[in-house]
Amino acid sequence: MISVRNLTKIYEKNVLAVNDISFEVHAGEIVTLLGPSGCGKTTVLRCIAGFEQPTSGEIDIDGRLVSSGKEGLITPVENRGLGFVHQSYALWPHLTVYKNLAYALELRKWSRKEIHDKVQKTLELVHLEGYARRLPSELSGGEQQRVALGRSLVYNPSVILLDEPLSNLDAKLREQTRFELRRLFKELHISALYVTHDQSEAMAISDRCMVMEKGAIQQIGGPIELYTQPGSAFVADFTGSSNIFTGKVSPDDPKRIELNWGTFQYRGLEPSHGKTKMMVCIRPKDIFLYPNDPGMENTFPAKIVVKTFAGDFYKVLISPLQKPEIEILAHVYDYEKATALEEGKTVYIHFPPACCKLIEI
Amino acid sequence: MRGGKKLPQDKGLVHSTYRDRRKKLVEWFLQRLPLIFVAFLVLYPVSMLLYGSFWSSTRITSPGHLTFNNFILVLKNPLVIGAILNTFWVTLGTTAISVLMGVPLAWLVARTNMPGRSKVRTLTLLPFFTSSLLVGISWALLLSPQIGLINNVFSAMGFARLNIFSLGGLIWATGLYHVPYMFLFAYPAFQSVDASLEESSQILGANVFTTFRRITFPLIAPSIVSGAILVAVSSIGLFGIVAILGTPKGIFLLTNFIQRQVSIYPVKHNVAAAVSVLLLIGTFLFIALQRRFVTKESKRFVTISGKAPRARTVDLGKWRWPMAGLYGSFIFVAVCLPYLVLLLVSLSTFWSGSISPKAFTLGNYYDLFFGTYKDQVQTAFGNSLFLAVGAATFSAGICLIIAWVIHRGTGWFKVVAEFLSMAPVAIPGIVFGVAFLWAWIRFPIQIYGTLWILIIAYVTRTIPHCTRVLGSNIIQISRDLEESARIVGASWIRILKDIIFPLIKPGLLAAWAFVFILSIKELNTSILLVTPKTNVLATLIYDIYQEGFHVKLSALVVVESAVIIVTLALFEYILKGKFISER
Repeated sequence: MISVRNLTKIYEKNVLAVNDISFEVHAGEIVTLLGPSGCGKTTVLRCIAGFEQPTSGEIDIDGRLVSSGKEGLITPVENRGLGFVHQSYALWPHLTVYKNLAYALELRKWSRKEIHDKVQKTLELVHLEGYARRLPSELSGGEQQRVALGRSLVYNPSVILLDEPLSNLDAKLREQTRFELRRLFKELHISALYVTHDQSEAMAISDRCMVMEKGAIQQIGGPIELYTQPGSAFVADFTGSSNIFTGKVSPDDPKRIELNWGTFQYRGLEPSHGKTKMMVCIRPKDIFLYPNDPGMENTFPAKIVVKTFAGDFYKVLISPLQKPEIEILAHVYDYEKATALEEGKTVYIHFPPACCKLIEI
Repeated sequence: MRGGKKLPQDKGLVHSTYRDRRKKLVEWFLQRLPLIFVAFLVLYPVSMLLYGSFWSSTRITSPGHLTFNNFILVLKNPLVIGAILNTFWVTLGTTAISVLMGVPLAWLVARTNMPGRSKVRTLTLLPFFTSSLLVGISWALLLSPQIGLINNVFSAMGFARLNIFSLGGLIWATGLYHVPYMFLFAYPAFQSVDASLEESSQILGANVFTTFRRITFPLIAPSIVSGAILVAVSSIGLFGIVAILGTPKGIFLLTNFIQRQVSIYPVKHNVAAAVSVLLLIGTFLFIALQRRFVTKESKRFVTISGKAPRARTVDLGKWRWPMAGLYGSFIFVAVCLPYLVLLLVSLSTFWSGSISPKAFTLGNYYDLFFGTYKDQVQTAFGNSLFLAVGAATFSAGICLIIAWVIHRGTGWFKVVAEFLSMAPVAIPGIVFGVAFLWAWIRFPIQIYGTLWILIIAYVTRTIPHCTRVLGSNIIQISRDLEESARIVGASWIRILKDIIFPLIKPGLLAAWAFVFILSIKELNTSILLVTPKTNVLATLIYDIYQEGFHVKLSALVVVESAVIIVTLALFEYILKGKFISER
């Protein structure tokens, strides 16, 4: 269990890396810190680990205060009993896989037999039976990653911190490993705080996601919540591709938004009173394209700019006839329909009102 | 383990507060102790030197008062003015020779397809490890107007005799001695220019020469300038060659002038200190310039510090073999010839500048070890080995911690470590010697006149080199490796022992061997600090040289060089051929 209260970190030369953030990771929960590079997510992780000292704020691990801006590092790194997986894996190159895992237990003065049994069990856990005597340089990237994981689990820490652990794996292995990690953490009932810049990875692995930007948390929530109810344009954009339009609430009907190329209807929450400038967000998968005018609300004539094949679907870029400088991304899953969408042709683009999410500016 | 909830979860290594505090205290001290030690070893003598330069009486032990007079007298002394001018010309000439030779040689090895280029690197760097006495004595034997081998051979062919005992001769010998220095700066610079940078220039229409002028040269220029400044500093402080080629003919540079003040009766410790301070100001300005330059330039060209740039090989075409020939003749003249002539002379019964096969003998070596010189040689040999081993072990130990602090520390602590580890570079050896006299002759604990003062001197003087070798090794150890040891519960001392030490072992060996060799050939400081009991090989050579150039002197130089070369070969073997080239 981790509890972070009002954490702020200012580096030398007044670089504000983390700005007054608070959150908790409950026992057995998997939480991801999601954000672009330089948003401060790794700094948060390193403050929790104790590699960095917070400028102000407090950090508890399992109910014990370990860092405080006032008193500095109360518990040094080596006494916090955490697991930490580096992006580079940081396997000690001069030690075998066995020795890499055994080191933490040797420091804890376990007996030789206890160490042997525990290391063997952990190697089984990460599917590395038979690799004990290899050196890290003799392993593949995926195997190294699993050694790093095993090394940080071997002494049963209650909390594990992971700093982009999958970013050095190839795309296919990365996706498989997501399942594996989640299954493992749930099985061990361990609290995990996981830093990544990959939104699909964050969504796949976590119970809760925190989206960070410029040192501050933008939104905390379950993966589905973040995806369907983004609280800001940044979150909407970062949790997956989306189309975001700026407009004004219609003075006649609060259920309508006026854009500079047409009027939108939406369903759902109304904007707070008095707010007039609004953003409308819609995911590409929710957009429909029709060859002829279907005669529905939120439908506009548009021209197809370009169409690319993306594997499971087509990505189509469309511009409304009214405003050709605007480009809208739509995903078309029906191959037959997509084939008919020739570049340069005029179609009718439809935004289902239930899928248009309102974001206050 | 599946269903791992059964095992109690680890709550961290919770120690008693007392143990924790004691551990932290030990860590705190261990990280600072070497720095405090070095600070004392550098700052205390330098302050005493400053104090001495204002002292009114000529001897350290005589009563006196503080005065400005020394500086006024010194700057009015035509000998000092002459020495300053001579130092200036020799420094300028040395730097020019080392750049004009070192840079093209580095280019040939780094960037062309010259035959044998992978093999000549080690040979090119060899003079770096040879003693300056060897360079001085061997060139005297080659180019002395009376007994110079080259002079005798060439005058028989009708050429005029050259005189090595002149400013020109000094510049030639010091210049050659510093070529490897420059090579060491230029070679990595050439290698780090990524091929794509030059290729892009050519794609845009620039020919080979324009590309070199507009792209390659500006990229390597900072390294060349920075190397040239360090060559200048080194040559300003060089004593060995000057003592052999200058002193006998009354050519004075600042270094041999200072040495004269201290070792010729009546001694003038205060004058030596004042001239030393002038010299120190000069070298400090140079080093400050170099540091500024390096930090400024390193920020400008981020690309050439990239990880593994791919340097492009230039096809020399029909010039391949002529260039190899040119390179070969450089190696022959600058590296082989000095060793060969010494070997030859050491095996002769007498030397008059020509080779006579009938006069070959091993008697000189017998004399050194079992004959007339037995006692002196045994003392000096024993002292040198003892000091070199001691200094190397000591230096490697404290420099490991200093290098760690420099590369892993933060804030003022790191800045102080960087400054202290670099400061000795700016202090010429002879100045250090004078400073040590002022610092330790009156010190309550008697270390002047013992081997301890020499060990301290060697350690202090080798700290910059040793720290750099170890630093370049520590840089290669990812911080993550230390962090992940920390997080599983290892203390700083455990990390040093379990992670850093095993990974840095080759670096430690290289640093050890490097300090060992530097200590064996150290002359500049030793010359002022040795007593008959604490004589070392380098100073014994200097003593015997006072009796004139003779065959036994050569034999002793060969012995000194043999110690160095055996060490080089041994460590080159242990470190799999990476000792000399990755110095």
